[in-house]
Amino acid sequence: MTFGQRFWKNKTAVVCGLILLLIFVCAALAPVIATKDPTAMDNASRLAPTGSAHYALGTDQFGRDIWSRVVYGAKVSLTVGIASVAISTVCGAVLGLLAGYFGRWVDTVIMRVMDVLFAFPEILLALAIVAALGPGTSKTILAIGIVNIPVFTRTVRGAVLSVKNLEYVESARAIGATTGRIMFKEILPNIQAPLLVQASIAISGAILTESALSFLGLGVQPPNPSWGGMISESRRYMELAPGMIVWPCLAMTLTILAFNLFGDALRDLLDPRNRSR
Amino acid sequence: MTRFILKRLAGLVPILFGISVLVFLILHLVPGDPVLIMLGTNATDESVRVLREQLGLNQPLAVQYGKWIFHLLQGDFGTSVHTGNAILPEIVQRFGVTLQLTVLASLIGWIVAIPVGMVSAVKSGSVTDVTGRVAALLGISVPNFAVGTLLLLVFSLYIGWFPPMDFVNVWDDPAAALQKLILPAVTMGIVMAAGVMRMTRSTFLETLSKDFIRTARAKGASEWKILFAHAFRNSAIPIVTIAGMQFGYLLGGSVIVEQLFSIPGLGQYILDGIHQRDYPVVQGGVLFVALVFVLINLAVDIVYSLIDPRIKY
Repeated sequence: MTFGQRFWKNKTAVVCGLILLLIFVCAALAPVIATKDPTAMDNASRLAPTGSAHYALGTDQFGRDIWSRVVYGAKVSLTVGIASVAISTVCGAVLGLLAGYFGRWVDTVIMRVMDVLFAFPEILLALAIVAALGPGTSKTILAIGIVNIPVFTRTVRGAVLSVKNLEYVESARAIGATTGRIMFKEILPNIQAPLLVQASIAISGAILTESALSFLGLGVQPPNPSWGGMISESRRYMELAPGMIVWPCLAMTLTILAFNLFGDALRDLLDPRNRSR
Repeated sequence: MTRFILKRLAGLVPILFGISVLVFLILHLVPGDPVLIMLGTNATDESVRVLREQLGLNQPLAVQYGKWIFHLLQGDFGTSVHTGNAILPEIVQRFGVTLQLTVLASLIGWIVAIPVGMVSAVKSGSVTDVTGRVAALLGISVPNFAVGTLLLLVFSLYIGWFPPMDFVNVWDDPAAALQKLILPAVTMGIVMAAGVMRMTRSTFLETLSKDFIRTARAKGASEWKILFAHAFRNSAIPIVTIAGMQFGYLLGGSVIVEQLFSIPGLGQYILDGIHQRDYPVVQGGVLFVALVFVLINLAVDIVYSLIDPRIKY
């Protein structure tokens, strides 16, 4: 069976893929799907309950539309998630290839540096970087991107070690391919699978970290909507307007759940050991 | 054993050096003049000069690092720019608070996760298994601050349990401390339980399919005995690994939970430091947590050899 056929047979992968597609479309078409400006305040209808005439999911303490804020929040979360994972993937892939392919002192130096980054709990390292750089969306992306580099480096290095002595690499070397060509044109395409699985799982982690930083007031800055920031603001009003916390929580849980399950399904599909089943 | 521990400790030296360099650089990554950022725009020239002198920012980077590490090794983490107090005693005192919270959260997590994971593996495919797996999946997909906020909403506001109160140490008044700590500990415990439960389940599934379990069954051992005498010890290593890692992550994650439940722990100290641009406090706090995290990982490695006598160092 081809990958496509196996993919369509895996219900989890298909359902989660569709949910993710839907979330992506919502985020990409946020200006169309959000019925209102997410930062527009309406003093006449503050803390409106879910199901109000003009506000389907109610409003927050400034009378801002919760539905529109949740939709724009998706855009922010996905942007940070994807951009930061892109940084980690590229840096991790390059470092992992270098460490795995060259071995010896290159490997030692790179992996020791990774060990140092691994020695911090993720959220703490992200906090430390944001503490130095200052808050804001782009700095959040950078911080989360750096935090995830070691995981990618380890994954790629392990994969490189398992293929670098295979025949196709040897034959590439025999026909005189340059080192760069062997690393990026021969080895890299063959270790895509673990990289892809790692990336899809890392995105959910990145979204969680972004929301945690925003919750602490150090990530995406108000008045820009972000799920973590919305949950943080909801704390003082949760008795009056439970919708303020319930909707962003639901949106976030659904997104992260979909990414986690999609990553698991992808791993099952791409793992050669499962192919015979 | 002693040789192994000494060897591992020696291996930590380069890591600790790396950690210290990274933490040292936090202050120097700050865009602009950190002294002006710390003191604000209406600081006098004199106070700026004094603080710059105090932090040694006039000297070359290598000299600054050398002086900084020299003081650190003597237990001098510097003083807070905001309060003027020494940093290390404050860290130690607040770490005690964070430790109470983390230990309680871990206990809750393990007590829930390990039995549920075992039942889930033994009765694989049953309603209990599916329920447990769905719960665990939700547990790793819901952020801890969302869980905490929802728990506050339901228990403190709707039901009226756990009214807001000041923090007391567990050794001063255990009942009151427990009342204050139980909601945050449950919040952190849920996330931890989810990870540990998934690992327990998959490890037990694997162990139970091994030949020696079949042999034990064939000689007529009871299921109970098979589970606890044969499977448990053989499944313990991955579970201990994840439990140890999760404990470390809880220390980091406590930043959020402490903030949410206003617990005066180390996480809150670091966070206040960040908000007040009190960089020495941030550096000291981050360094301390990283040290503890490294030591926990070392402890996990040592526990391995206690569980599995085949592991010889």
